[in-house]
Amino acid sequence: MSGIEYLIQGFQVALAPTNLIMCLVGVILGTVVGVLPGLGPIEAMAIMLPLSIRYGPLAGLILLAGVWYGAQYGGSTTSILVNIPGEASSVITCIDGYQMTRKGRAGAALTISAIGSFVAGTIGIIILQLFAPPLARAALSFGPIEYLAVMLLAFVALCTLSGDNPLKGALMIAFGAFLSTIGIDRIAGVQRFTMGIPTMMYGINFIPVAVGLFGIAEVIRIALNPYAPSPVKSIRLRELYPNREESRRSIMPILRGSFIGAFFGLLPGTPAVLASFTSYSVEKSISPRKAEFGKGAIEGVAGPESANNSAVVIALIPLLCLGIPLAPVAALLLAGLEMHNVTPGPLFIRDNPNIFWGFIAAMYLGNFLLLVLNLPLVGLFARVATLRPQVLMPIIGIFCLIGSYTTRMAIFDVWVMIGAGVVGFLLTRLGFSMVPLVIGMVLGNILEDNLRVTIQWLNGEISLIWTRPIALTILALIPVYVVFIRLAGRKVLKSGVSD
Amino acid sequence: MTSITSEYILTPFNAYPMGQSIERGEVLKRVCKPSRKKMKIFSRLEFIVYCVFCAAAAAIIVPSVRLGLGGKEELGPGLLPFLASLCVLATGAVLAILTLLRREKVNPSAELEKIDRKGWIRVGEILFSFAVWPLLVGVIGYIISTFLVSLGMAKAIGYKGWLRPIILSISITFCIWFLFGFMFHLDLPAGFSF
Amino acid sequence: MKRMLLIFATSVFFFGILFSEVYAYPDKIIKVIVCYEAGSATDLIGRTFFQHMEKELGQPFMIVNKPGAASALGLRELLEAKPDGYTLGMSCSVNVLKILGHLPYTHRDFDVIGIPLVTGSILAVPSKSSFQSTKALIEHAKANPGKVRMSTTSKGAVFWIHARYFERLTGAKFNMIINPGGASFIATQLGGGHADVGFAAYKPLQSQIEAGNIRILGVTTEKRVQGFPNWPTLKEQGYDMVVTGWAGIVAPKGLPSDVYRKLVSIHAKVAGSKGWQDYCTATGTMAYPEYAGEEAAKFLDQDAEIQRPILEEIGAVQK
Repeated sequence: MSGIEYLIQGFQVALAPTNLIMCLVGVILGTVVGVLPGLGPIEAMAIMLPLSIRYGPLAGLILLAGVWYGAQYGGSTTSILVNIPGEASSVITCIDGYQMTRKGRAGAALTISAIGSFVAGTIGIIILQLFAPPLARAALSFGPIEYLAVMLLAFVALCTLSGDNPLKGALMIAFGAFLSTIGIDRIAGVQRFTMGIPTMMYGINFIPVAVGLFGIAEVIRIALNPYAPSPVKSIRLRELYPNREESRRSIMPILRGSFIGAFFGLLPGTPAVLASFTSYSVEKSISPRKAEFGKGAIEGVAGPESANNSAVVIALIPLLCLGIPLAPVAALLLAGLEMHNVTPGPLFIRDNPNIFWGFIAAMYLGNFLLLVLNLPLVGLFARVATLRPQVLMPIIGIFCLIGSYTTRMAIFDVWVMIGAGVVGFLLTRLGFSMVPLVIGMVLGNILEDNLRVTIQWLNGEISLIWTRPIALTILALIPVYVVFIRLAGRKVLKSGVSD
Repeated sequence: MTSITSEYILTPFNAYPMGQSIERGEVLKRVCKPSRKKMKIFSRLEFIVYCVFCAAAAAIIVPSVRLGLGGKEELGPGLLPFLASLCVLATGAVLAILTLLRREKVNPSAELEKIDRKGWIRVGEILFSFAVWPLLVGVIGYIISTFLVSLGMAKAIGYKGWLRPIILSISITFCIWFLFGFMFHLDLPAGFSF
Repeated sequence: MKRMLLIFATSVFFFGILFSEVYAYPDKIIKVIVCYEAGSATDLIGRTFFQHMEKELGQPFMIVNKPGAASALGLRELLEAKPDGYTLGMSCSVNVLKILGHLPYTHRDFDVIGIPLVTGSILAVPSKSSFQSTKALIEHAKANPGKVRMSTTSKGAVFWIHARYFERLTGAKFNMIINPGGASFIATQLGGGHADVGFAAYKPLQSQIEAGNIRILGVTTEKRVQGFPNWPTLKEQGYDMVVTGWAGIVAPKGLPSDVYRKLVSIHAKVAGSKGWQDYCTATGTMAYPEYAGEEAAKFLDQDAEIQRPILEEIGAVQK
């Protein structure tokens, strides 16, 4: 049977009533979970595990995966509307998305985000369908040094986001990196800076910090002057959707984001977060409208939102084809499958073609369902932005409080969120950008872990690096990337800022 | 309202009449003096923040080294904190010195808005409402805490009257209960009541 | 007469409540704090086991994941829960946490319900490795100290303890690659050939073993594992390494005796049931239905005594 025939059969299975309902439930739940700050796909999937067992492995997989990629759709909604990241991967969308809302272009941002997510998700599924086994083998050939090389490349790329003042940016990155070290060191097993508080042993959770830095800080800022006239007076239907120029500008970022996300999906850690950050950095570096980033550039929404969706889809490849969950969320999917006695791995596609192809078909369906669900809701959501602060602030405040609590069911996280809000507000007024702080927190841990494992691996023989061609290629890309960015920037200056 | 606030919006360049036209200068003279003092206060705050960062970083350096920097074959747990705090210390120090040098000149990229005392009081009330929730929730349970805190926030941010804020708070609390307690079956703290 | 009737009625009423309490356990959802991340090996074991328990007990179990500090964080929370049988916990290290310094309590500070599963570790190498036997591996490692890469998990974790014990036992020095990501990274490193050897349970390595990327040199159990009779034990190869990992179910101390007895008897029943035994055989692990209640606590005592010298040797003990 050829691939297309398998796929058609897969669609037949996916359209069976049980599977279809599971798909619908999964994506709707995922979207809701994505919108709510704090609650993430992991918690929702864990709660859905018992339900996923009832109807067979395919239905369970469809349900759980639907929650995961559905959450990537929903996460951007609150980021754009009220500057509150619903998911870690939506943090970067807050920057330009919220500014677009303040200019009255919330509908456009939401629409582009939904469309970009759909396109990227579909591209991701196509890549999965066609290239899963070879990509899985490639993922297996990545050892510690290769991971380190990729993280270094990502770090260099993300350095361009340090804001106007490189000194302030460096301060923020270092501060963020320090915050990421608090907790029990997973390699040496010792406690770092936990100051005797038991909850600190697990470190400072990223979500409450992000919600505080962006959301609470914004609440404080609005509290200073809640009577300021809102730039968004009313939403006319025509203004709900992106105009021609915005659509045109979004095409390339969406495509680029899809492939950037696909790349990060194969790496361990949280693929969606790294993917969205890197996509933003790339878009900002090569855009002729660099100055607009941070003030409402549509590329800053299109790229990251596409990247996080394709990353999540591609992250399924190591899970399904290697049986190895590289992302924490994938581990839950693995649990879901194992409870049906289905073990994913290199023999998975061969032994369970109906599950694999049914799942692919269900993903296409789910992606489409999400688009159909989200687009009409854009109007409803955009209207939320027009609510006056007196009504909006309590709603936001309470959801932030409860949300940060539900990340780990710890009151400590609520205090972290409040503290982060105060700090974020203060630092933003003093001209610091919160983006490098967030980058420091996210990358600090990952870079450190990869560096230490690599050093252990090398055991003092640095020359061993020369025996790893993949790592060398990636490292060589770093100066290439820097030169490329410089050239792209120079082209901008020469041609002037076109608009 | 709008016109009043816009008069008070200062940008760094407006605050200093150097090279500005005369008419602007007249208007600005009124706000210039207090604004220059405001600039100094502002820079002073910045300076203090940098000093706090430097002090905290300096305090972390010794514990980091004590955690172990490791050697050629294995990097210790103290390495990243050590490097990070060094970086914070260095950049913080440089920025602090720059602030001192720039005392009479322009600076922060943020726009200054004239904030009146009422604004700060509102901020205080909102922060208080936020802080009250984790304190109360362990004791009274999340239903009542959520209701009280959302009511407090609504009033702090200027929601006139009592009936509408109460209705809003009740709906918010109900949504929270429905979504988190019922749909997701999460274990929100129940205190002694629920 | 009326007074007698009143006293009689009241006492019947109270006895009724008492009895209804007893026979009504459980009458609502039971929360289980699994002290490891969702999707991890122990989490999976717990979810499967409690699925079986649910059928026997008739009430659903709600699994809550509270990872951190080798289960110390979750257990801390368990200690604060009411000992009414509606909150349980699952941990793999509850008996050594005091020794490690993560928690000032041992398993004797809890009511031990049972040990559903015991597993040995597998000594695994990439299939294209030149080591055909444990002997060859050890000889090569001794001749090249620090050169043979052993992939393992965080310090203090079960597989790390096994790896260090192997080092000490054989006298060979390995280059330990400590992976912060958990046992699945051992599978990646061995499957991709980035490390030379590693210790892990069967489940994380299963897909790579089935695909033929990983080969098994030995297993650390007393006797050959039932489901996989062609795995030689390390003991029969001449290396006296019998170490096991296990998962245990505990409750806060002070359970009412009937609740305790009920939980323990259901645990023993499920652990001995065909469904669970089949699961264990398929995953290369073992279940002993007699490890329930006090027997389980005794097993934990013994296991702590076995682990203590290992931990002291490898310097993990918090003084």
